[in-house]
Amino acid sequence: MKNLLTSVVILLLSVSVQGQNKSIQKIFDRNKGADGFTSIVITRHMFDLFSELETQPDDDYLNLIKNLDGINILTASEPGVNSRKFYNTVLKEIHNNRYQELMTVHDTDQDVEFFTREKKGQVVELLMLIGAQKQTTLVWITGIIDMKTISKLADNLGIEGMDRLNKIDK
Amino acid sequence: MTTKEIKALLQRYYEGTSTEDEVSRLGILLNRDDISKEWEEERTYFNVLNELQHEEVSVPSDLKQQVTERLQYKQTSHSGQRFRLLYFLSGAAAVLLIMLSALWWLKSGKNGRDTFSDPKLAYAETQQAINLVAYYFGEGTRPLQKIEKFKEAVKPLQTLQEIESAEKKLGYFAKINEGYQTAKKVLKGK
Repeated sequence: MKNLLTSVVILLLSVSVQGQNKSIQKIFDRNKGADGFTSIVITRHMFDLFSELETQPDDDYLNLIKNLDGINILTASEPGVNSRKFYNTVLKEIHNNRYQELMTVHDTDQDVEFFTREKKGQVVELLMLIGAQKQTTLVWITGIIDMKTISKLADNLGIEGMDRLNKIDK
Repeated sequence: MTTKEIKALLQRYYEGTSTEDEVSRLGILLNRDDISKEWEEERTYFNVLNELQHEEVSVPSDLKQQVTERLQYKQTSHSGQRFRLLYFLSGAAAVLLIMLSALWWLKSGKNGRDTFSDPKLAYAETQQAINLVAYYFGEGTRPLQKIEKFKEAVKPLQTLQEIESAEKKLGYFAKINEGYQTAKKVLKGK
């Protein structure tokens, strides 16, 4: 009987440990499919299938993706949802979970904030929060994130970056 | 002769084929005075059996109740054991079920949430998401790159500064030399 109880306690503890630091996941789960929200989830399971696609072997994207666990994007748009309120909720949750603030980019009509979480000197979570006037977007990347490759991609994007960005927005 | 007869009668007795007369004859033979000592055990056994046959056995009045209570106790103890076993098995089954559910939940959490089922679409979306992050990351780090470039540009100026400083030092030497020469001339004139 004692063994049975111990097993149950261990099981519950392991489930609760799995559930720790999942407050960002909760934000996604809570708002997925709700009015005014658009969400995109791409998991490691899908990343594994990318190797079957016809891509360049030295593709920077694939090099970055191979160590990722998932990419989650959640966009809150008005009038369906109060985007500013959502922005503040997410920001509060990020601060409560002690993510490290990487940088803030103040644009003319939006603020972009980067937050990271590191483990053994490697970035294992990257959060990008874009707060525009009527839209808030949260991008959550998990896994081992190679910031050098992101920086390289940023350089490659260069001037044409804005054009690509416009395409993304569409 | 007696020994042979006893043997034959005992064999029939132990085989369970003796008649009542044969059993009583066996009792009489075993209790004879001239009987060999080898039959001592059998004699004792038959004497005890004979005594028991004549003894009155008293049956307790509550025998039925006693038997019923014993049976009930046995049944209860059996059902208790069965209940404990059932309790343990149901507990184990519950733990197994919880573990399987947790496994399924974790697995489905990883594989069953994808927005896209087509890897091509998922790859395109992943690229766009990375581009979005990379673009703003570049926006944020670009001023730092400018600082780096400024540092690079300033490096030759630092070399010039070093040359200027070296020249200044040389100037001091020239003045010292000039003073030395003047002093030399003055000393010569004297």
